[in-house]
Amino acid sequence: MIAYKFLCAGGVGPFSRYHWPLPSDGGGAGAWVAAAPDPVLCRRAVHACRVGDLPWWLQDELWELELDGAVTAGRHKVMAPRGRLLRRVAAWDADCAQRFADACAERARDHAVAALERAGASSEATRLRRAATPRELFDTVRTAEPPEAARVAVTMAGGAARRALGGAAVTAAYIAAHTAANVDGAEAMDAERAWQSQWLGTALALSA
Amino acid sequence: MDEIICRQFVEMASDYLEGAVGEEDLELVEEHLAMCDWCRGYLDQIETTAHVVGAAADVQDAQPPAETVEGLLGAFRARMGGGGAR
Repeated sequence: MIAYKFLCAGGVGPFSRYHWPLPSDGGGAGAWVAAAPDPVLCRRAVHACRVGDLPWWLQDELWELELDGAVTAGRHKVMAPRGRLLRRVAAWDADCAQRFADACAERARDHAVAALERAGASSEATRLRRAATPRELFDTVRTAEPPEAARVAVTMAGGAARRALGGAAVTAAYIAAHTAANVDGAEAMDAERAWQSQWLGTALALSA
Repeated sequence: MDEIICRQFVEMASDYLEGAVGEEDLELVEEHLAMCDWCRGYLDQIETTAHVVGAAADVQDAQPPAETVEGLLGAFRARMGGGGAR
């Protein structure tokens, strides 16, 4: 199975701190890595993502990975006895991460705008909708006076903007999903995560 | 449980470091860690503390070489035998 794996800079596992064997410069795949008996590696299995899992795990580097053996699915990941890195997804870089973070802040803004409109605060909604960048969104939220029914959503949108300004794409995505849930319930959160996956899949030209 | 929050992570952090978290909880913990820099910092902190405490325990348990012990005992006996306690 072909899947994806986010790693820290230098090909290091974000949780295991395992240094993955990288593909050669000539394009050959990296060496196979088996979860057992290596106790350092992800404890029990090689962990990877499907495209739909990506928004939960963003890190510095994204790699295409081949999994081998019986693949099992978690909620937001897949696991296999062994895997090897095939190639780095070069399109995932700091610029792309920032664009994604900004897009997530914008989505959080839109959910907050919906909450304001439903609460009858149309002037506040208009003001928030005009915030075109995370900086403008953050500044607008700081001076906003939302009605109680929309207060949490507006605050969350400000939080998404703040995290986007700091380049924390994974957190901006998390907050956007929770803003959706706050405004429209659990299904809206799922839809938001699906939108994020689609954004990443398209931007990075990944096969689902 | 779909997600955990920071307070739940703190309760599970020691088990996580010891590899004592089940597969399902492991996903919840790592999902949380991926997006929460506060909890990443907390985990680093308790991992560092565990290493420091472990290193201190190793020092406490360490025994000096046998010849060092014999040398010290010999010197002590000679001193006691030669001049008595002062």
